[in-house]
Amino acid sequence: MDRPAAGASYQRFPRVKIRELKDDYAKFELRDTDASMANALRRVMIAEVPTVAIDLVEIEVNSSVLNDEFIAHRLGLIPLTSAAAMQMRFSQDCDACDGDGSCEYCSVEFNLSARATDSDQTLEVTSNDLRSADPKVCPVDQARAYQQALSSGDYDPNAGDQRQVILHLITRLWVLLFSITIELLSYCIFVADLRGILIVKLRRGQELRLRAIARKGIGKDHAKWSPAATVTFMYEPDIRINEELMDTLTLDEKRSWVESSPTKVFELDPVTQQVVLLRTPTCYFHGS
Amino acid sequence: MEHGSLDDSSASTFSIMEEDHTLANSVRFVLNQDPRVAFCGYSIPHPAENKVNIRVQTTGDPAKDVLKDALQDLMVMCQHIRGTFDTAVADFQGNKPAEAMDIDLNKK
Repeated sequence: MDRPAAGASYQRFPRVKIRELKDDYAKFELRDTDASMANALRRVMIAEVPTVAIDLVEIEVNSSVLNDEFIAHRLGLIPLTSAAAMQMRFSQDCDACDGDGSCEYCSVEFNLSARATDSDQTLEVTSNDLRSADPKVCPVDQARAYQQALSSGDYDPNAGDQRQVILHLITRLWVLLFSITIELLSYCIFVADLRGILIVKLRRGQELRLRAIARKGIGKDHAKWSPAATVTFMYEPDIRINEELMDTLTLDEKRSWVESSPTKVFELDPVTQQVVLLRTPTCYFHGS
Repeated sequence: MEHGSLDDSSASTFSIMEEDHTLANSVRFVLNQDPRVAFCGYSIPHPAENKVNIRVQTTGDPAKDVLKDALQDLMVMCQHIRGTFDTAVADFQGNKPAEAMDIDLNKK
């Protein structure tokens, strides 16, 4: 290859191709770049994408079996819809609030008020009981249930199992033929359970009343702000069949060789009696 | 900050605060693509401290210019990836509107 102009470097322009994309699942290929770029993307997705999570909890009444900080910790881990996170400011950077870091530009207020009535049944306090001051920011399963109710009119609470979200990112160097697949797993949500995320259970006579403030943050500070459940990446396998050796096998031997693989990687072409690759190599390591 | 010698500007170590492998490994990769670079590497002096040392030795050009160019290239590359990704998402959504996507409040 010819030398570039003085001062210019061999800058590569990566390509992206999306394989699958759902609201909580994405799988894509990244080509013409290096593992370090893919890893940097992975690290940023886990640790440096800002989201909104409950950060400050003021408890008025708590007569449940869990202590205050336990409940505050659990509240912090509830995922909130964070589309508004990019417009919000970080609490430490906000200059519009009056010092306590809770104005409309940098925080969202939540209220929770639950009291177990005098029946013998245990009251489950869930994320559905959290009332948000800003409808754009609410617990993710509230938003999901609302969406389902809107779109389908009558949702089936038994539909679907746990949905895993995987983002495959495959990088292929144009010089070497190995490729990297990156899996990103964001939000593992139980679709079947529309009761909300359980916070605490209350017995007859127990009460929980609190006010919570959600702020913008990044995963580096605390894992509750991390938007991704799992991000992984993988090199795309490069499988080449040694045709000379393959020709020394009989048809039966070829057939048993093809069938010996646990996942269906090869197939025996009936016309030419050759062993060929079944699909593109990236499909082999599907979790779903 | 940059640690180097006064008379030889082609080799120096850059100490960057509040950074980690995310930036350092990517910059090292981009630096390696640059033909002016004779040697480059990075190290993290202590994992508890948010500091990274990047060592650049060039074939004559001042090391900090080379590093600046590498960071600029990295920025351009990331912007390119972002644009490509947006296009890819738009294409994907255009081709398969209903079945692949769930309606989501989070989508802008």
